[in-house]
Amino acid sequence: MRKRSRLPRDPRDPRALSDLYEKDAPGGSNAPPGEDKDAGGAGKARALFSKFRTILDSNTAILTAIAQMERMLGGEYIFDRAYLEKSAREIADLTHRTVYAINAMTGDAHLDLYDRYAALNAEVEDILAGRRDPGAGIPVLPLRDIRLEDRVLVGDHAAALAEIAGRLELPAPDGFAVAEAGWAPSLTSGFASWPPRPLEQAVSGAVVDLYVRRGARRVLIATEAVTPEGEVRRTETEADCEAGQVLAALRQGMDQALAAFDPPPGDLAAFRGHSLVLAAPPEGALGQIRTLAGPEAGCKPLLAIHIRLNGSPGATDSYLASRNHPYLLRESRIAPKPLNKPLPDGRIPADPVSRAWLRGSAVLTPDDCAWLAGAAMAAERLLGEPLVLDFAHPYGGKPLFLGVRPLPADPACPADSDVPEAGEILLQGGTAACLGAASGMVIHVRENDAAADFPYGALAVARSASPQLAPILKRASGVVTELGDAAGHLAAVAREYRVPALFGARGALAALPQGALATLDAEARTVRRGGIAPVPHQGWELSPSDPEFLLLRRLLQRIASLTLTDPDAKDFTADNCRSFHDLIHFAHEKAVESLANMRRAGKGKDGAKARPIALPVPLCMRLLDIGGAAAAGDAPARIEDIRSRPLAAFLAGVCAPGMWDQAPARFGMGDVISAMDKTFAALSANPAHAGENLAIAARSYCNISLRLGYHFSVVDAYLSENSSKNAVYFRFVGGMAPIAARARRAQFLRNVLAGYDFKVETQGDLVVARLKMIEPARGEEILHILGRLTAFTRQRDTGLLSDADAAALETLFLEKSGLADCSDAKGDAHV
Amino acid sequence: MFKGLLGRLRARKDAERNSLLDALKIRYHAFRILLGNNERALDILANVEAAFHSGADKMVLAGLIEDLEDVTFELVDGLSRLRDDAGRRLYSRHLRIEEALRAALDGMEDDPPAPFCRALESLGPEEEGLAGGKAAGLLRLMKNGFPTPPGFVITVRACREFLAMTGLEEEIRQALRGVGAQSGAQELAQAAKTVRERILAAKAPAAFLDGLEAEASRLTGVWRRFKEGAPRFAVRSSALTEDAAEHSFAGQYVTRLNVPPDALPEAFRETLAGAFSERALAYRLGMGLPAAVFDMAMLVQPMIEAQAAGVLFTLDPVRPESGRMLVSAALGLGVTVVDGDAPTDMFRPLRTDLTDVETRLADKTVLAAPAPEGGLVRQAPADGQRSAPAIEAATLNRLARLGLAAEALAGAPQDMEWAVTRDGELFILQSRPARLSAARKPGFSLPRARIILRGAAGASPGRCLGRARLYRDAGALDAELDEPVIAFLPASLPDAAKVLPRWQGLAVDQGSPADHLSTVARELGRPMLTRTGSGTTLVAEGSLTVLDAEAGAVYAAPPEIGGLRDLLTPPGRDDAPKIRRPLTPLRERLRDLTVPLNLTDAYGPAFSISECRSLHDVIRYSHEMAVMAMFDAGDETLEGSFSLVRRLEGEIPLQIMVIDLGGGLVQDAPSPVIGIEHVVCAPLRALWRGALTPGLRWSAPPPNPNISGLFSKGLLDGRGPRPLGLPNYALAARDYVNVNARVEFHFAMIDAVCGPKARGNHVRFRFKGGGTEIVQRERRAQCVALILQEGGFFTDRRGDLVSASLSGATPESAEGALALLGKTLGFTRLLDASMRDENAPKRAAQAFFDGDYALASFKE
Amino acid sequence: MLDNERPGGEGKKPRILVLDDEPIVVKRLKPAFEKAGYETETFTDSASALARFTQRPFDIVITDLKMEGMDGMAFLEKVKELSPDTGCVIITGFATLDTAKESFHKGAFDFVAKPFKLADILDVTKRLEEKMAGRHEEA
Repeated sequence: MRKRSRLPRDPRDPRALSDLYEKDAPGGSNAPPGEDKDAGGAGKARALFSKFRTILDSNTAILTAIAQMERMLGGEYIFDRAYLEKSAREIADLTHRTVYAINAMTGDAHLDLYDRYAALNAEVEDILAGRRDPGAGIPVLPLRDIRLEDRVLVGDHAAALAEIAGRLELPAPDGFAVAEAGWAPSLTSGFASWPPRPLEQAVSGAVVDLYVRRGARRVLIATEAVTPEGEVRRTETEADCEAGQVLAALRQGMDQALAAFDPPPGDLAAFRGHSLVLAAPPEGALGQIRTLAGPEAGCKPLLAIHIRLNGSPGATDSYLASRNHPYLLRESRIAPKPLNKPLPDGRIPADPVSRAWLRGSAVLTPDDCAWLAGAAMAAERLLGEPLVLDFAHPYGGKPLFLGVRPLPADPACPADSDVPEAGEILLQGGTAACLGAASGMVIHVRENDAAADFPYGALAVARSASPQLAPILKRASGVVTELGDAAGHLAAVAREYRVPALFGARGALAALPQGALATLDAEARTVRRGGIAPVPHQGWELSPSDPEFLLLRRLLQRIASLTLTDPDAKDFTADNCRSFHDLIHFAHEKAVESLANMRRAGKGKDGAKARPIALPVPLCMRLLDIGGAAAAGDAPARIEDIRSRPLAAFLAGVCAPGMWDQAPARFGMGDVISAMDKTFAALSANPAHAGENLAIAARSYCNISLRLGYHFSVVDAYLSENSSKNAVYFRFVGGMAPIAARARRAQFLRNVLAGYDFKVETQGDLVVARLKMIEPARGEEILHILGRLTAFTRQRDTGLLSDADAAALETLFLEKSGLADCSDAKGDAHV
Repeated sequence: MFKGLLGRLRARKDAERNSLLDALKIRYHAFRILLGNNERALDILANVEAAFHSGADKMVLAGLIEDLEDVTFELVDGLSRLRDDAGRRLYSRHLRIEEALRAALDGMEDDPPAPFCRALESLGPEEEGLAGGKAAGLLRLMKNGFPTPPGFVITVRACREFLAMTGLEEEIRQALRGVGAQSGAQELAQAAKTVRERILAAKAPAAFLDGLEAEASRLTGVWRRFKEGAPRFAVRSSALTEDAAEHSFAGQYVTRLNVPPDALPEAFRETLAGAFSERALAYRLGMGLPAAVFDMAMLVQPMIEAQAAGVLFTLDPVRPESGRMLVSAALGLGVTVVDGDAPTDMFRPLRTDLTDVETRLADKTVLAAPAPEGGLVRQAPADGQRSAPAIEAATLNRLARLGLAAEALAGAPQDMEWAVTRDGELFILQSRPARLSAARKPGFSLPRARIILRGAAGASPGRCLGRARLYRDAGALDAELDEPVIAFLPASLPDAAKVLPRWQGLAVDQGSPADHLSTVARELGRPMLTRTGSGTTLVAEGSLTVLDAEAGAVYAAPPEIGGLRDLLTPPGRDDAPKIRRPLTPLRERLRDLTVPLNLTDAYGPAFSISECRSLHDVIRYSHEMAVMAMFDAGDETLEGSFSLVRRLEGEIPLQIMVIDLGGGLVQDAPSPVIGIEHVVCAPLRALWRGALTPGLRWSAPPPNPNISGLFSKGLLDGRGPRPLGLPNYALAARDYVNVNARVEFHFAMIDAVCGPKARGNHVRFRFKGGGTEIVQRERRAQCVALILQEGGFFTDRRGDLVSASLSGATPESAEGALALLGKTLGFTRLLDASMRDENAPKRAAQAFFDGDYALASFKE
Repeated sequence: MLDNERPGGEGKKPRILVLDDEPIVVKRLKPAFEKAGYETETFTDSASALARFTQRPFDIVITDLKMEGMDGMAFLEKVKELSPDTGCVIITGFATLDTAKESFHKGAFDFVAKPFKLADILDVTKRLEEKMAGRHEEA
């Protein structure tokens, strides 16, 4: 029945409208008390719901925007700065709304979030404005905290080394960088006082750390002076690992670097400087890799490694290797070795035992060469251009990378050296998750394979784009999977490491047999036979040297990275939110929690007019309609009057035949005793509402709090046509029986819910289950089940005397629900 | 133990301070979110409005309205967080609007079919497709106040439906099948004949006849306001492709003149059949258009009983290079000119000097006149008329000016039909692009209008012509208008909505197509531009201009048009026709509950909750009250918060106590004294920059004071306890500042958002008080208003209270505005003391603009 | 105009002009179009792009909308005035229905919203090329 009383008789009559308003026109401040009070209560409930929906909507919108920004790293999109600005600000706005909403929902219980939001937003705006980086004030940065995008702070060399060490886990010495901010005071003041106090403190701390934690005794120091035009002079020195000496060496290095300009600068204020301080590697050989060899290789696309024993400049071995896995050696030139210097394996050529037979030994074994080449190529992939890498090979140890920088193009070699055509197409199709070409030997991988066993530069081929494969992407030159797409987690990882990736290519495992040499071209979505050793070209690809790339990376760090993952962890606090993603995640969890607790706190009922719902089962429930939850009317709402999609589904489950156990509960003595104190607590806490159940609902939403017997449950669900917004939350706690029996019931619930893809957590008798992003029809089905469960478990704890009872109960439930057949496997597992 | 007690005391103090800061933050964030929701609400409102326009179906409409309810609810809820009382009362108002909306939505059925006939003036600019070219051209003239007869349109859809309902459509296709450009004349004639016969024999459906009759009697009613007796009608075809520049179907379709009301259905059929005349078909096929595609509408107007009539080309089509117009005039009805079967007078006025006319009079032997029984008769004119000019020089001049105006409006030379009644009243019957001689002389180029500005965003479609008027002050809004005006405003001021019906069109420097004013402009069908950038400085006050919302441009109209006062009728004050399609009563009601803005005067008494009658009102009210609430925030919460603040000091004797709301200061800002280098807050920096302007009298009193107030004496001789008055507070975030400055008995408040997104930016300013008598204080207020107007603010002055606002400004111009405020604060310090005569405000403002901050020019 | 200078001359790949005030866009589009076989010139300001176009018209123009000085819409108008047969594609990050309409009104062939996939823009140019070839045959 439609409620038409408020509709004026003839809508065309202009007076009809004013009729509507005259009621509160004179002395509007004293509105009719009854009506306003109702409005206030329902208004509060609606405000709550509206805020909650803001959180859900913003969450969805932010995640979508983040996913799109992340895809920009993959190289297939052309984007511009304006896009980055627009997206970042849109996300910031949505985050602000989310933070406001959670505070509005909780009586401003999370004000800290505002400060975190403001701080993060300031960082994002600073990045966008190209102003000083938020970290720019820090004089000294540990190498492990530096990433490529920090190059403006610490210089290209330190940033690149830190990037390959941090992101790819290539071995490098520990160390720290003296950032631009460390040098700035001295340069602007013309070294008025040396060392400036903040720098002295920071360097001392870092040096002590190196000494104590790394056992470093000597350090290598590289210092750069940069003109306003970007011209660089670089000096390298060594010092003992002691603060005073390091500071002196830093000063000396800078003086030399400045002196290297011709003419030397007078006014230093416009100059910038940075230094890199590394723990000196142990005694051994020193080498250099050039990922594109140049004239020495006849301009063929080969990789060159040179290595000499420490202190023996004349005795340099040279190797040329192919640029793709398995990095076969094409040529090696071995110099005669001095008799008295040890080789990397520790043996000495003039060892009387070997009788100097080792004089002609190669410093590197073919395996060493392949490893070095593979690591260098991984670095090239990551940094997007041919590189020069300096490394140390300590006696008896593993190589360590000491420096990495772009390889200047050799004028003697044509820019476009001819690349041989790859062979026939082995595989075609799928989605490019990260563009680029890669070539290497095919290795089939599975989720649990250890990354350490995966050879650098091989082509990984897998069944699905599972996130577990992420560590392998640090080593693979390319990745092909049969399942998955560009939006998944592994796709994001591939883009992070800049590994060409083709996902969802059917039949990949069969088409690409283990050990075959193959070339992936992600852009063409093909894999061809043979290896072609592609050379990175400064083309349409987005290169790490593009300012937009670094801008994007820096933005994503503040926007997209998720560090707060576990809502139950101690560090799940506002203060620990490091990104917008953290903020919205935190807010979302708290919002759900707050709604779940609402019934307990007695909110949502003050003055609100809740209408009874007439149910065919002995359950007393009221409905607070916050927008389209039921057909209009003042009479008790019948089930068929309910318009709220999730509530209707839930109630249908509650009333499903066979679920409502009419027989009185089986009480034991323990049950009653255990219930005694609870009875007092429960009744005195909120005597007026004990035993009353409330549903707050709108067309697509419901929050149902139920007190059935002595247990307490909350269902919070949003169900619309847009499945990305949909979510179901279920919480169940309490009961009359002793704790062990209640825990058994919790176990029962857990089993059933897990069968419906819920993420379930139990703690004692508390069960919390969450499910997100579900199709609306599936959501209805699930709410129906929750309804059944709610009815079915009413007082079930009292009958649960043993674990077997719990299992039997589960079987009974599934039987009654007509779902028995799908429960067999699970039932076995828990009996 | 004592120590412990102290510690506890300190802890409690800290807690109090923190809760004070928390309260400020809560307010601030609620305010910023509300500002965002305000934008969102206006966006949705624009969509709702468009949905009404386009006749969206019920589900779409319901969905949009639901969205609008949600966001307006958020606004109301947000307001209640800033002002509990206002929010609560507004909520119950909002609830009632929602209930009324729900009731209307529940009752809404699917719409009845669109009416067959539509009053010409009810058509929106986007509905030209319904009316055909002829009607559309006339409609544009009508809306711009040209003298045109009223009329109604039998829409293209109606004509098509007529053919469909009578089963004629299929028959016509059958008959015309196989007829193409290659068809022989006989074949064509046969096909045309068959079709015409069938149309003429068709029986019109009753619904169609009813619609026709209703519109005819409405038109009769309108007509009788001007003329005696029952009108006869003219029924003209108005095809979609007709009269467009590329396909001029000039004269290819039928026109029925002098039709009595009861003969209208027959005239309709004849006109319809005319679309399939042999000549029309041949023409269509010759132009490469398919024969069977039907796209004709009809225009029905009362007959003008012409004394003389004819055609006007605003550029002589045969000799366009001559720079002359061409007017041909016949006695009686103009049909003789069009058909070319009677001698006519020819006048060729020079476009640049309309008094220079080449005249060739004819011996007018015949004229066409309406026959009493309907139809026309040809007869001889009275003796004296044959050789005399058919029209007087004054009429010719007026006609030529109307022609230039029509050309400027259309942006291209026009071919117009006109008629003059016995009383000498001139009517324009139609206007279409002129087809000029194909063989144009080399070097000839069409006259082109000078572009005043371009690249603006069209907020409401259409073109209009009017005299440019600049509005920088609320007072100017009340001025009487007696000619068509195009308003140029610095900012999109909601208060302008009340005057908008009297403007022909408007252009706003800032603003956006989704703001209040744009919504109102669309509602009223007034062309409007936003984001003109600097329209108010580019256009000269009083110049004749054409605004083209589609091209986002403003052009200069030729000055030869002369005064508009006697030429064009300005839009009415009260009876402004709401330009929109007729809605069903329930849609009408839904619309009334959502789109109209009734709260137009933010400073007037009617700005109250009880006047909120639509969701648009709710949006406006919440927004305005929220800003006001932030102005009040200062007094309520700042007392006793000294320990939270940092004192911003610089080279001037001005101190601002800054409270950081988050991101307003650098992270490691010292305490308690900071310098401007520690301030991140962009608007505060801009304000400070202005305050630092060299030469401002921060410490010296102004010259030649007239001290009549008791308070100022003490201040001026330096004996006052605090020469710079009470502390000034600033609540600062990164892109926001709220300043509460109390300087020597006057207060100044600033609320500004100044971020990268122009649309979200605003600068609000209030200034009131002083130590002198009210006259002098008012004069200072006047001076402040003058200064701020020049700086692009829109101002409102009531007594000694000045309110100024600027919204939608780019970050650069918002910062400029804030710098101006900083400068103004310094300049106007104690200025009231110098406001000795009526001219003082103007002189002081001038001194300010000249950089004479010390008022050297005031020293006599 | 000489026949061999006519846009879309026989057998030759069309010449493309790319105009966008953000260097990253032209930097990445140029090699992509060149790889696809087009002769490509890029500009980051409309004045020099127009000067070059006046000197020698291009077959295809790809232009951003929002730029300092002459904006994309004005550039499009000029191009169409100078060489009506040139095909124009608008790329913009500020896509609204109105701007799309306006650009079509002014003769743009297509309207691509930023960010876009490389494949998308290549696809549009291919379609444009086909259409121009078709028009050529008719003529």
